[in-house]
Amino acid sequence: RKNRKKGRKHHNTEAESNLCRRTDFYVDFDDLNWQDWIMAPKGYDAYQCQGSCPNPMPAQLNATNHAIIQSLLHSLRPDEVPPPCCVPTETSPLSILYMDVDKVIVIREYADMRVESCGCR
Amino acid sequence: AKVDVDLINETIRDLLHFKSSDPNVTSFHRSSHTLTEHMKNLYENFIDEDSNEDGNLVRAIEPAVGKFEGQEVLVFDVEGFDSHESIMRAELHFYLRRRDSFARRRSRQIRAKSVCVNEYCRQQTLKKIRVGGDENLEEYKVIWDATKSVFDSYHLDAKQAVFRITREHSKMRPYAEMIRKSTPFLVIYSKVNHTLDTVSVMKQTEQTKRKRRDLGNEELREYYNYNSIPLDNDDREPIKRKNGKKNSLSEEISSEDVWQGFGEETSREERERIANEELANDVRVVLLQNKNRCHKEGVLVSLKHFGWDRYVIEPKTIETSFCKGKCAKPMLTSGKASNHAMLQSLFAAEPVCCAPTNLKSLNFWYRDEKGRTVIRNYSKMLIGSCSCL
Repeated sequence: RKNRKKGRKHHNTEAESNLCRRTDFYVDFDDLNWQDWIMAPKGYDAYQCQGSCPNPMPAQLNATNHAIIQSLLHSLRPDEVPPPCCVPTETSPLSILYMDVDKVIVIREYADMRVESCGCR
Repeated sequence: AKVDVDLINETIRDLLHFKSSDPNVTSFHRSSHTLTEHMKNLYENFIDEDSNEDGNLVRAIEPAVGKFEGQEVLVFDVEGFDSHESIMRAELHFYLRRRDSFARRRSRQIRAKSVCVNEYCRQQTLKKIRVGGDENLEEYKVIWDATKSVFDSYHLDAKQAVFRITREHSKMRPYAEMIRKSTPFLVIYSKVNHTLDTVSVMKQTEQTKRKRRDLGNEELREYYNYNSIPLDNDDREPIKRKNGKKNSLSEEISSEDVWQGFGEETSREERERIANEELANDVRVVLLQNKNRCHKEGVLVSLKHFGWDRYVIEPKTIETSFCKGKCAKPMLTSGKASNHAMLQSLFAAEPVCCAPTNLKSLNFWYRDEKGRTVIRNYSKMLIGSCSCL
């Protein structure tokens, strides 16, 4: 007889799964028609920040003091004050090998290309 | 922009850790010159460095005279500390008059001890950590390390820290006279993870509104309109990088934008000129763009308006601002967006956000409900500029 699987898988509520977090976002240079210029890489995992910053904000959303106050202001005057935004809080660079307009092959490091972490700001 | 008056007031009260909504200081007394000077220097240091290694909370406490076992003692009120506070350092300050050849000898003769008024603690002789002339004041000062005594008082949940100051080979003058002439005070440096208690603030705000409605004062203005101006700032500082190379070449490269070298025939200056020319052809579009694009907006709040100027020495005003506006999709100019934001605007379904790019601390210098002089530092509280991230 087949043994039943131990423990029940933790099921996130819908609200929890929509909180501010880092999600997948792959940049394919072919889709941008940049493959003629960029020799390497073909694409890369850039990631993106997605989700809401509700009031009150859970501690895991890494909110600043300012974001907490803005969240309060938004809850009382939604038309005037926007809610805090889910944005990158840490990024990392990416090196790209490409051919420039003079047909010279160049390696260059670009800042803020990949998201490392997200937070409410 | 309008902001809710009651919400701002309750936010300030929570930031200052006042328990009552409308506190009354029954006896207002001016702090000694030496204590004020010390805290003023500390406050300026907090402003300059945007934080402090010794913690984000400093209290300077003046003593009262008490008696213990028939002898006079100095009593400092240490009640009402935060439950999650870490005592980093405590100093007992003492000033000697007349900076002359005898000051050094007198400073050597002076002694300080913590007095044990709780059955679990032990009396301790304090160690001098500084003896000498104060550069700002023409006075000789003695500072003792009171960290362990204050630490013990805090963890034993004592309401008072008690000290006795004596002089070797001589009788100390009456303590009331000592307080007047030598202006002793206790400085406590703490680290506390204090953020706004939003639940409490909202509850108090709604309670205040209900009270006003019950009194029939609905016509009173509930929104603060003072100096409401767009605070757009084009300056942009990069968000924190991880694993970036640290050399001059890398720094030079990192200032480039993602378009550079990606096959674009036109230079950045040319693209910006074309974009500006197109916008200039339509005045309505220009106005709409300026209002709707990512920018900083806010209100300058005067603490005097709420009556907090009775307690708060600095600052006089607080900027309540936020980032507002849209980020173009795709972004036409790269001046105010990161490389990632530009790629996301081109390719991803998720829109790019208008958010703060640099945040500054807010530092309060004020007198608390117990008359102690306090400096509190709240990190990442004020917006420097806005950008598409």
